Amino acid sequence: MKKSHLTLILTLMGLALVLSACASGVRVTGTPGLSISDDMVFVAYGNTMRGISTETGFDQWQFPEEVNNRIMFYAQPYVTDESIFVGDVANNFYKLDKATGKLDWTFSDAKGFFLGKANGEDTVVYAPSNDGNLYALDAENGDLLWSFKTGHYIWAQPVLSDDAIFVASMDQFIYAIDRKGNQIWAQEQEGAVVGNPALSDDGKLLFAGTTGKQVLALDAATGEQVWAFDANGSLESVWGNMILVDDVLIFSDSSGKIFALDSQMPTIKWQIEVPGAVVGGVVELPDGFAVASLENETSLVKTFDFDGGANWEASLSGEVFQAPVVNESLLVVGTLNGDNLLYAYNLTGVQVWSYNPER
Amino acid sequence: MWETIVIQPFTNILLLIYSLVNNFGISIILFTILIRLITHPLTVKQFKATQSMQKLQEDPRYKKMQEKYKDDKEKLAQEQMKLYKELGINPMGSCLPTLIQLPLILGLYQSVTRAMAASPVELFKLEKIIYPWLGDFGRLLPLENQFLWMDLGQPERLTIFGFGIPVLAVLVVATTFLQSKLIQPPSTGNDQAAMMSKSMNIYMPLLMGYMAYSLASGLAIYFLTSNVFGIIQYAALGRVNWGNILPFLKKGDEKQPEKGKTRVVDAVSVDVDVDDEDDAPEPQKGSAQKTSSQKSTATKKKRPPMKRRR
Repeated sequence: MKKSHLTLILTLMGLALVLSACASGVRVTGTPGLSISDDMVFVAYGNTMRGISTETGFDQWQFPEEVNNRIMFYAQPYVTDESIFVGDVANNFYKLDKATGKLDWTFSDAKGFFLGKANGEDTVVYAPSNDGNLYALDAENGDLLWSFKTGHYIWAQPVLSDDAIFVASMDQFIYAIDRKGNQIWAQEQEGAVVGNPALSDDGKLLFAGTTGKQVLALDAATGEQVWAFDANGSLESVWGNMILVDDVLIFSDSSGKIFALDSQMPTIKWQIEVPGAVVGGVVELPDGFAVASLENETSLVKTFDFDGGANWEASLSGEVFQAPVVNESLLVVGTLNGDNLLYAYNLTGVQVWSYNPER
Repeated sequence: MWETIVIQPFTNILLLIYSLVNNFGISIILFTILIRLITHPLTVKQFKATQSMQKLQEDPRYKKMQEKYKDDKEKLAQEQMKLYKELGINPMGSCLPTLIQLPLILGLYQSVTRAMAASPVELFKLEKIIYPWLGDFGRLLPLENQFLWMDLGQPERLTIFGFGIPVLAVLVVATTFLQSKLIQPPSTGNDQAAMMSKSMNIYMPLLMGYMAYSLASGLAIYFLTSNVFGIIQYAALGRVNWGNILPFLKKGDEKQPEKGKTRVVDAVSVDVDVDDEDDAPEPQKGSAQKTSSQKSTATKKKRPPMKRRR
């Protein structure tokens, strides 16, 4: 091959690499997807899905055992007593053994990434996909039972009630479907729902925060809007999960404001603020709640009691886009571009371990 | 810096267009055309500079100094600079507009990528760069990702009889090839340049095709629009050489040499045949397959000049 040809090919290859990098490599950027059980933290990030001991912060297993560069994980795993269900951005959805990480089955018929957290009941698992479908899969063998098509990505975890499955799609609709995949109702919102909706204890009200700077309560039976809250126009986009504690709805917006509302009517019980943006939302602790806020590439984990009184806080390097995960004794937070991928704290705020897969 | 100066304004313009047409595929097309129109004066400058350089290479004095100082590169460079000065040519004239355009084109590419936001992190970062004074664009997000048969966030395939056909990738290969062939200037008799140009005509379409095949279809639409508009732009400037792809449109003696044979033409004959210059179209003046100026100069004394067909 002539030198000029070789130079040209190498230049074009370099150009391809640069442009591919501009397009985010695997075509999407995500954050560590975290879940936790009593004895293990499960982190889906990069080319692997890992099971990590909550006690030591050491790897227990990884999937796949041999790193495959075509596979990237960003979805939060859905964990049951014995299994883990998680999807990747190569459009595959897996069932793994919780204790060993061994693959049980793979569902590969989706046409889009899996970035949302699945949910399940009995022998069915519901997997939301970026191709706009909610896939209902047989949890035993991964067979497709049915799928429900929406108009855009689905990033929020499906919410299950006795009567319906609620799906918030990025097409700015919330859908209620029956357990055969038939639509019961669809309600359009002003903005998309990224975080997981919450269902009232009696199953009558469904709450959702939107990028349209509103928090809504919908009648779970009909989809009719019961109330909408925008803090008199001062509410910013609500990206994260919300929690419902004794009929009090606690949520945060992207400007760091945290609200507690009476869930029956949108009256403010209390309001506090943390520095930076809260993207992942609120997570419930045994005696309060926690949020992670993001400001200038550093993050702050902050805990509060149920009345909004501050408890402990911890600063960490890197950006946190997902709410921390919590079990009876540990709070774990995952970062993007930080010194470590994970930080684990006991519930009094003492850092127990940190985890970096490179080390 | 790059983010604030290029990506942010570009992305906001793209979103503004989207808010008007409410279709992301069409927004990408319009946005690409808009940026190409804005950079049009630079493209024109580049054409003119390239044209001047081509004419210079046909100048007998230039050819003479090439031959005279072929073993003394330093002296050759000095003499060339003198000639540039004398003729008022800026040797960087064709590079500078390209250099200025490159960041804009890269910014265009990145803003399209940014606006496609296929994950919560990407969407959050997109929302953060929206100018608040432009309106409540946050409510538009995420942008509608369906355009014709495509999911703009996914590589494009048109499924026909169960086969996923990458229509856009094929179109991108075809238009990149067409564009490079159509705008390819008549050979200036520089062997190496001609070889390089030939290689580019093969590798560049393949590279672009691979990228259109593997990246999100929104980007493939950008590649395709950019190519098609590029051809239109060059055609409007009268710089498209249709003869490069449609040989029957070639005029005069501009017939391609037979495959495998090198046709040696006396370069000097162009300068001598003043009559012919009036007949030939301006861009193709003296372009009669001067595949090797140095060879042709060397063979000038040995062979009689080839006669032009009329």
